[in-house]
Amino acid sequence: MSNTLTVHNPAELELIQSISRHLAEPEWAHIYRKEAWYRFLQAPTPSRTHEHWRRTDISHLNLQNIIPALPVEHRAAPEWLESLMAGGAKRVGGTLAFVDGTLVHEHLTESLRKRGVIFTSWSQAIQQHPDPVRRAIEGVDYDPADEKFTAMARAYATGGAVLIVPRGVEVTLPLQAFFAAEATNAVFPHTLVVLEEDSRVTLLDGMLSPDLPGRAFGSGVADLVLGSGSELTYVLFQQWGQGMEYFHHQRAVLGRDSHLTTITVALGASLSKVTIESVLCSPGAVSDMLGVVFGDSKQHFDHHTVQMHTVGNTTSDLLFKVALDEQAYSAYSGLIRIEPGAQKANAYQRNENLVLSSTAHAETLPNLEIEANDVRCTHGATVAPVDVEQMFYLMSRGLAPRDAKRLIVEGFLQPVLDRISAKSLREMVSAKVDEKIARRRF
Amino acid sequence: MAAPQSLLDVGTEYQYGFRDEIEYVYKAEKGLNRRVVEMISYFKNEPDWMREFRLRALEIFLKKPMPTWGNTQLLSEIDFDDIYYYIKPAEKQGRTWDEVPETIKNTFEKLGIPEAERKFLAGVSAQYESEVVYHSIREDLERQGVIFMDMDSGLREHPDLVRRWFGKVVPPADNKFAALNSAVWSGGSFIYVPPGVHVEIPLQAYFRINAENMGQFERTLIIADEGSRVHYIEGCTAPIYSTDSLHSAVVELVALKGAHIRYTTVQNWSKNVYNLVTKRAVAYEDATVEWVDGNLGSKLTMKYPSVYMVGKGARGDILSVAFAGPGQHQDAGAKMIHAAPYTTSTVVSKSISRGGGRTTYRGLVQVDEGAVGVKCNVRCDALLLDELSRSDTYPTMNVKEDDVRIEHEATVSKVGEEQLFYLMSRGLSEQEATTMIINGFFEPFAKELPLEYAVELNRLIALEMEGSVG
Amino acid sequence: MSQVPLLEIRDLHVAVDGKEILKGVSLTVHKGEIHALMGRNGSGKSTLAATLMGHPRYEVTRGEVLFEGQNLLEMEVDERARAGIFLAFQYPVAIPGVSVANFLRSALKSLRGEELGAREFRNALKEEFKALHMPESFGSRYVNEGFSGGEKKRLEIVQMGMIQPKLAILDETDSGLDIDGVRIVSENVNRIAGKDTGVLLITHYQRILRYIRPHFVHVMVNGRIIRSGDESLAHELEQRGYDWLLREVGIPQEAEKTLQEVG
Repeated sequence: MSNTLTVHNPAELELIQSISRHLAEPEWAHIYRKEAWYRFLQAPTPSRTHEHWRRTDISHLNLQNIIPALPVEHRAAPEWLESLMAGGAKRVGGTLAFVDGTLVHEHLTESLRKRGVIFTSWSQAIQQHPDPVRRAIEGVDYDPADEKFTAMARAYATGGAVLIVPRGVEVTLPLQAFFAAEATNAVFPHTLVVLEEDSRVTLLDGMLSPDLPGRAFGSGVADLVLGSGSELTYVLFQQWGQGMEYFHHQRAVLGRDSHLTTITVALGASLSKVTIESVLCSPGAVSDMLGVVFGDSKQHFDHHTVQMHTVGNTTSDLLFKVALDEQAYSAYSGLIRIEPGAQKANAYQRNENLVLSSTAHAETLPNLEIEANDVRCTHGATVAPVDVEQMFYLMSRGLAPRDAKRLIVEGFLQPVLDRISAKSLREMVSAKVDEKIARRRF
Repeated sequence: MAAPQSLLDVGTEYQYGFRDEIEYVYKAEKGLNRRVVEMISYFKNEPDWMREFRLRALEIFLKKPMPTWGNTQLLSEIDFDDIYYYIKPAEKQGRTWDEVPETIKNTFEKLGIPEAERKFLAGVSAQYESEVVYHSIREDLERQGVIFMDMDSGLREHPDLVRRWFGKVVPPADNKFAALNSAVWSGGSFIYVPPGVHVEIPLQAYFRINAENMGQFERTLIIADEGSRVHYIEGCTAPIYSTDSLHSAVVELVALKGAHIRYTTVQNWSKNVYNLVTKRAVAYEDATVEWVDGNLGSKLTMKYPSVYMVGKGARGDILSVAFAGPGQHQDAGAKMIHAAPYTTSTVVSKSISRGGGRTTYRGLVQVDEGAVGVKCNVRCDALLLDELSRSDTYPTMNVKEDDVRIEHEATVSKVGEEQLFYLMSRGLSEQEATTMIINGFFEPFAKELPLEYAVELNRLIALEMEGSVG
Repeated sequence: MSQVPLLEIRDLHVAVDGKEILKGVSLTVHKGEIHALMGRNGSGKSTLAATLMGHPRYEVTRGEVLFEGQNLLEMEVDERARAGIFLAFQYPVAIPGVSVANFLRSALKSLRGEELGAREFRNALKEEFKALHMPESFGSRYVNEGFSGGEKKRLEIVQMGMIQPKLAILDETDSGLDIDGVRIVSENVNRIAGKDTGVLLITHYQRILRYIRPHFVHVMVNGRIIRSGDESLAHELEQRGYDWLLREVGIPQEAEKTLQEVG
């Protein structure tokens, strides 16, 4: 396919080559990047006539004109990021931080290092541990609906996090990777997680920036590969500043008897469109997907989840909670798909929307496609305002209406945040959520 | 085949697949163009505005692309050039069955229509191909000012009423098939119920396609004036041919302030009929519209009855039941548009797929700005009887207000093992037990039907289930 | 008594969804007094409780309510709480995701206008849980979520103890409690109320009145108080039921039954 393509602008190919040169990428990594770039050029820009893109208008984006910043030497973490990392530093096993695609901080405890855990930047991983990385990316699939963006992220990612946990290793302290934007107007976060057999780990990807002066663009991918019997808790924490328009595709492939818990926390960005996908392709696999969205001002959120059961005896569960204030908009669409022959698959899906203002706008589309009969699949969705009886109860104990409302909103989101079992991460994320709720006047 | 007694059938043992050899009064050429549309209008001696309405609709139909969703594979197999768009079976409409041509009358006898009319109907309309061939209404209703006639007569005899509402609830540009119907419509029912009049027993229309490659495009308009009530039932069958037929109706309901319309459909087309129907109601202040929609036959059905609640306190209820056997796809659902405050709606969808059949629930609940105090509850249950079959659920909820309460719940499963075990422990065979559970599953639909239909429904489910277990 | 009454209800009429439930209720409670309000289900007792707390669904169509001389009906729900009114709910709602401790701490902060010291708060809450025979772990559970009927009722009294109201309205706090539960709850109500708190105890059983001894007993029928008396009225009701009273005040029983059904 790639050799039939005419490159109209050789300068662009030069860009891909220079990224590879910059990172001293071996030939295979360069080919991976170049192929992604070709795919990016070939894939049509999605328009609203495509079902998957009906609710997010990107006609103002000129993707061809967006280019990544190259990594720079001796870049330091900004103060706000330093203080965030310092907060939970003692309670984490490792931290990676990228600012505008440049690695600014890297840490992994000695004991984890000794046990063979790899937690490092993409450029170091491909140099030092080429085999597992290569094996993992060879299995990567492109989702047709999101291909324009996923391919772009793979082609342009300069900083990227790679986590490989060897067979049988249980990492008790959580790991965290921060992708921050400061001066650039385009970020391309890239995460690759490989859990070998019977390993266990918790990872948080934090997408952060201050409010941005103009418009910024981001496109990220996360590939999660769970070996048999492994357990992964993956937290995607998104608090981009105002001005950011962010696209993200997360795809997990679950091996036999593996257990994935993904927790998506979306607070920031002017516009975000996120796909979270679990492919249950081995018996015994379990996927728990959770999500929290809290939107205000004119924020636009579009979340799409996929629970794909390709074989039987697999289980998936989903709880996605959305609270919207002011003129915020949220679309949640979720697909449970049971492929033919995937008998004894169980899937559950629940989306709850709490609407806090008459100008907020919530859409929910929970879909089921079931092609096996010995299954149990259920989905539910609700859209409702703050409950009058709950308000009355809290106010009868003396809480002012705004405090009662704030408490109910916190309580609405809390059950999802409680599922982050690593205390340091849970506290950090909860604090950020509460901070945003507290800013609201209601 | 022995003369069947019933109006219903669910598939494998299709009883109404017989065909009549009949000399038609007029049969238009195959295919669709300006000439055919003008000819239909000419034959019906229509006013100019209707002829222009048809021609405008034809333009829209030709321009509009086919839907890009639903069963696009089956949709792409429709050959619009290979369809008869207009066939006139008889010179004039009968007011008694004796006036109906013998062959056609025999058909309706076989379908049990005259008998049903004697037993439990307040009025009957029977459409054969493109035209209504029989029509009657009880005198007491007529005296109260209730109008029940075929749509063509309605256009002639009540031009102002028709012109005010025709094409207003479902405009031609709504979708490709609504445009098609608007261009070539013929027959269907026109009903007007004056203020405060309650029509307590149902009015019924019966639709029959007989000719091969026939397209039936009836058009129904029901206007329930303030504080009135009416219940309308329609049933449909067709013969089995090797080529497909197209049924593409438009149904418009207008429930004025405080009115109540119930519209029941028992769709039992043979499995070579495309059933692509647009059904929509407008409910004004405190009005209620109920759609009771049973889809048992056809090859592909795409139909989403909707209620636009435009007046405060209006209510919409949809009960949708679908059964898909081998080769069938029932793509059905509901649309509830809450455009006014304190409007409420419920949707109950129940479907069963077996033998490779596919059922789809596709629904929309929309709450517009300003529509406060809205409540809506949607409940979908699907049973899959074997590993070959498929069930999809595609609901959309679009809410632009905060003081609303929307709930959606859907479940897909097989027949419960615990239930089977319990029934079999009392001595029922697996097949009896399964049939009993399915009857129970369809009970909310059956109990909305007149008794004769309900008994027949149970019998046919038993027939359909024969040999499907084990 | 020249003292301003704690609560003064005058000819109160209340409608729910346009239907009149209370049809002229008058009642005065002074501080330190315990009033029992008795009556069958549907007589309007809970409507009175919810109205006093200011539930938005209950519309006052006539009459007035003064709390320490102030017009109570003009106050918002939280203002009433800050004024010193406490309602122990008949059916406390669950508030998922909000822990009991977090909730009570926010409530106390709002009632007192200042943050309570963390240790002081913890100790006080610990004491109340202990007094109500509830494990301390309830502090970190979500408000009423997954609580049994009895646990919900006890948590209401834990809150009463933390809040120390001037007027406590107990809406069928005894229902859903076993015999030990009734005793424990009653002992705590007596302890918390002490000499200064006014108590309006709503019940249709006599059982709780063995532990909380009322100074006044009122009987409500069909939205009106038809008889008031002292403790002995409650004993009489227990022995003779309500029917004799209805006959005495001239309410036909059939009519009462119909009214109950619609109420």
